[in-house]
Amino acid sequence: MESSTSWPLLFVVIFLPLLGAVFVALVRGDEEILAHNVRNVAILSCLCTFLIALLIWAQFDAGKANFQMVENYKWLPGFSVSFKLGIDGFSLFFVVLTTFLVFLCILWRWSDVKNSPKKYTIILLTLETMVVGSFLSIDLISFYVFFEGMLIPLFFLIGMFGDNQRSFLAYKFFIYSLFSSSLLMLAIILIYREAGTTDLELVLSHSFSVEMQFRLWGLLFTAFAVRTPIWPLHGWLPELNVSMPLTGSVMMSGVIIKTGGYGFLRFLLPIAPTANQELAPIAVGLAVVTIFYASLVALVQSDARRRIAYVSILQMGIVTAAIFAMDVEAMEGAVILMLAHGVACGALFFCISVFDRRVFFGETREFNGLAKTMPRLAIFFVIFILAFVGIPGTSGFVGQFLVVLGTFKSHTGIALATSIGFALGTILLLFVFLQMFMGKAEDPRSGAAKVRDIGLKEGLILLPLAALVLWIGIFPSSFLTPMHASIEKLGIEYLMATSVPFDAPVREEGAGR
Amino acid sequence: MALIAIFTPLIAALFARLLYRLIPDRLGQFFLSASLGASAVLSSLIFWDVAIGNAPYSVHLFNWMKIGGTSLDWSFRFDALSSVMMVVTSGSAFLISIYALGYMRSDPSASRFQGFLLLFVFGMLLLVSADNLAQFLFGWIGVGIFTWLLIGFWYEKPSAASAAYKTIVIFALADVILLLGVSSVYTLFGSLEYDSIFALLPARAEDAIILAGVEFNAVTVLCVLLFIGAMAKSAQIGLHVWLEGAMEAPIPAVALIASATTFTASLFLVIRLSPLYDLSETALTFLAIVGAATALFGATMASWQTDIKKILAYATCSQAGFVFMGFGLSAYQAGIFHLFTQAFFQSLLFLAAGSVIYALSGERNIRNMGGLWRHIHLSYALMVVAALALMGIWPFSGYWSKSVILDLAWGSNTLLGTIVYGIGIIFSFLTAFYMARLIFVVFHGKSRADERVMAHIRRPLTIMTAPMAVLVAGALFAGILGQHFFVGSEMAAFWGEVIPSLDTHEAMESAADPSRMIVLAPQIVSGFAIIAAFLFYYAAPSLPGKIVRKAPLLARLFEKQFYIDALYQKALAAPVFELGRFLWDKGEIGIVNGLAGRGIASNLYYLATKLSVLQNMNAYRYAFVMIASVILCLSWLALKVN
Repeated sequence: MESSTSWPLLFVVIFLPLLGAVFVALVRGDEEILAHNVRNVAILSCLCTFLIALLIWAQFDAGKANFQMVENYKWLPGFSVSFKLGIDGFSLFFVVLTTFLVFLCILWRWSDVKNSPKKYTIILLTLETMVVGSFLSIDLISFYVFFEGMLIPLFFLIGMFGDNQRSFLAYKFFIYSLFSSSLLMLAIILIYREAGTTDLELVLSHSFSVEMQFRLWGLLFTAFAVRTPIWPLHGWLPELNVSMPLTGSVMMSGVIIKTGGYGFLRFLLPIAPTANQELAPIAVGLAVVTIFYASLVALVQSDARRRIAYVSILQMGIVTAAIFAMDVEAMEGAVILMLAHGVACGALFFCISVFDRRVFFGETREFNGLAKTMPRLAIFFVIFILAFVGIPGTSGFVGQFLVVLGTFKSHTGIALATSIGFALGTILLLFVFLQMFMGKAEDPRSGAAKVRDIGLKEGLILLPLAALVLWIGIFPSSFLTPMHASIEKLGIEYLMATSVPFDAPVREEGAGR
Repeated sequence: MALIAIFTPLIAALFARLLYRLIPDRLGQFFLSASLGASAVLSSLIFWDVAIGNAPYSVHLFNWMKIGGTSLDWSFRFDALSSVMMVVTSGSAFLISIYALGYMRSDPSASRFQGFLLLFVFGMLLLVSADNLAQFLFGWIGVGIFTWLLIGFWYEKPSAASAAYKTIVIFALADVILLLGVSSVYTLFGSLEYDSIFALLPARAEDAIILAGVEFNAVTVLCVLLFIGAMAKSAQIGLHVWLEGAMEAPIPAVALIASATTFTASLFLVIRLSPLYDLSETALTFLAIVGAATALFGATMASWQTDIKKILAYATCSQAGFVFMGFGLSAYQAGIFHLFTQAFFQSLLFLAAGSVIYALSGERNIRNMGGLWRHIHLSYALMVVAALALMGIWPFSGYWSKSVILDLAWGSNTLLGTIVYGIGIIFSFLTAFYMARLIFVVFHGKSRADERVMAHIRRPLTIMTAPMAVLVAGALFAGILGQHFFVGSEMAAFWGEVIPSLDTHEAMESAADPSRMIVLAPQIVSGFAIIAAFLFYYAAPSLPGKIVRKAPLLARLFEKQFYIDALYQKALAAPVFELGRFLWDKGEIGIVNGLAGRGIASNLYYLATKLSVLQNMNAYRYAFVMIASVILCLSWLALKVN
């Protein structure tokens, strides 16, 4: 093991939740004691994980562009496959965000799950391990294991705790995932055959032949586009968001779909720059279609959860367009936007899950006039909507501003599409507020008149999210500075790789074989 | 000190929200109002130091974000322009909030109203004191959001809720254009700070950009983009459709929106960037055209409406159009002078109208009023003064700012100037007409109100009249006192480098001298308009009805507000909804779910059940399949490589 720090922090931050899950599995006792103990174990392990993630942030050297705190464990020594972990400007905040959101999810007493807190906790903790692991792996095989491994707890989540459509949805999700994971597997095999290693640092320093780059681009783009999701591969997300338990939706929209955009930045662009130079217009085109398609479809949704899901797809379209614009500022904007979306969208799902705890949750159009009965929730809801759609002072604006400013010069079309996308997001989501919170609570069926406002505990969970939203909005430097070096490096290397004439590809003969 | 002036409203509002359980409601409202007062006093001190003492300065807080090579800071700029705007904003907001203490007394959520008011003012103060365009945008969109909150203040009324939503839709769409304008500023100048933009101006003035294959002057493009973005907030024609709905807001909020925040924000943008605008004749002409169209449109609509709030709303948008028309002739100083004077009489008009509505227990239709002057003398007197000021009658304050623009138009001796002057005369006529109509119909003639309403007629409370008294002093004297600084002999010294000095200085000088025919013409026209209104609405009240019956087509056009709103509904909103529904039905449910989801999935599912591998659909099996496939692939890979 070679580690720059005395403690293998990255290893710990990945596997601590799994350890917690094991402990949870071992808890026995009658129902009440069980629930109590499960909760305590889960909170403890999540809190520790989150604190370690913060420690990693504190130790992170913002000046370095390369991977830091690298930990290398021999895994399959015969095939130069190792279990290698490292962190850089791209992954740092995703790790922090994941651990933070899981911690809040655990605190948010999973009352939307009627049976078995134990199973639910195990699933959530395993999911955390998988997500954090996929952000921290810098070996293709271990990345693949984590990236696909996070589907396992998700299947359980849908299959065990979803609504009455769950078996069909689980199946549908499975089809999409199978599609994406087989493409990713194929890409990894191709990379391994040419570069002779799955170590990401070595793979990135290898220059792939142009034909290979085109192949890899196609495979990787499609694989990650399913996860992002990009039109027309988005069909799995909205339905899933609607029928999952809401903490599952928090994780799904908050971090899991971010692995798609992360994959573009981490693998696709550095591995296939020359191909990207040619093919980026396809990606941008699909992203722009996604923006408008998702906003049009969102327009006719009456259920808030489905509408939010489509607006999430819209935002991921913006992120993808910004990534493929290949501009350092726009890429910084895209990463900030993914973080901002993770916080705001997760927070919105927390807000909506309040109803699940109060009353049976039907479609949100059955509620109106909630501002009267739930003024505190209304305030939080407004803040998170505004953050979601990029109103200045909140996290979304920083992303929006960087994306639009960055793309305007060279890709005015992208700037236009993304800024319209943000406006459409505003229009779409404020309608949710209009529908649910404004107007009069007349319909006695809705029960809106009787719904209790959020209490102190719920407020204390939403408050840090609101604070985070404002923090990113007002002092974005504390987030932009650590990621800057890595993004700039990607930009420079991309520029160098693509400035070589198209028909004279640099290829180190036999480097891989 | 300067920062305290800006942040007091925000801190007070947050403080009051956090402690609302501990302090009595009424006390909280007074506290909020007082904090606006503190902000107003501090702003006046800043104004004294900066504008009168001629010592502009800026305050840097800390870095906001780094973009490319440049860094954007949280920093504030205090010069003649921003300090005037700060005084106008916090001053009139303070008076309006005192008025609201009385007007909203019986409303259970009056303290929420005060809180929104404070946040609104905070957004506006941030906007005017910003040192760069990003921070300006912060305040700008903030003002939009708080306008939305205030319009939707009575959110239980469906009409208020949907009006608020409509407003934010228009604002959001216009902000796209504004954001693109800001991006083009960044692209052209490599910075968003005002000083660096202005420093680079001479070098970039002739740069061109190519849009859709046609070459344009870059400065023109960005000026036009920024102006279109700004049009929504001042309800310029085309983007005015939110205006009528905005009257759902409580009247103190409307007064603030019209006189010191939302409307002025967009006028302020042009003044702040006046060195930029001054370089582009095309952009200025565009401003003049849009302004002229809005001035006439608003004035026509105001003459037609029967809702007292809507009359004043259209009056406001018409006035803003007039100022934009003036900007078209580079009359920036006159524009800000008008902003300054109208803050008094515009808010006075709304507050006096509020006291009329208050007296009649919420009645807003002027056809149900009449003869009120006997009952509420004070509101009557205030309304008359404010109306005369709005008409621009000598020596009320509106005269001083308006005549400068008209005078300049004539003095500029260009075609555009002459046209602007001509439209200005028509505008003066219409303004005088609808204001006189309002006065005659509401306060004179026979009483047409309900008996029950008349029985409960209420005089405005002292707490409502006190702020109006201050405003009436402004409506009377602000013009004559301010003209030397804003547009007169002290002008160059007062503005310093903030607004470009013009050769037309002399024209402005002569505006102070009302002896020439050109200056008298608007006065005479206004006089005729008042007489016409007197004939129509006092002497022969049946006349307007007859005329309307003679021209049913025109009446219908007015009734539907020239069909602009209907056009948007039919040509934009409806097809978009149709398309959305089509994509949802056919695209989502049909193709995406059908092929990739329900089609393949259900076939495979069927197959699987036949093979009874996945008989009980449990997730364990999926997990098994996933893990198995990973292991299989891995071992295949291992074998292959060996």
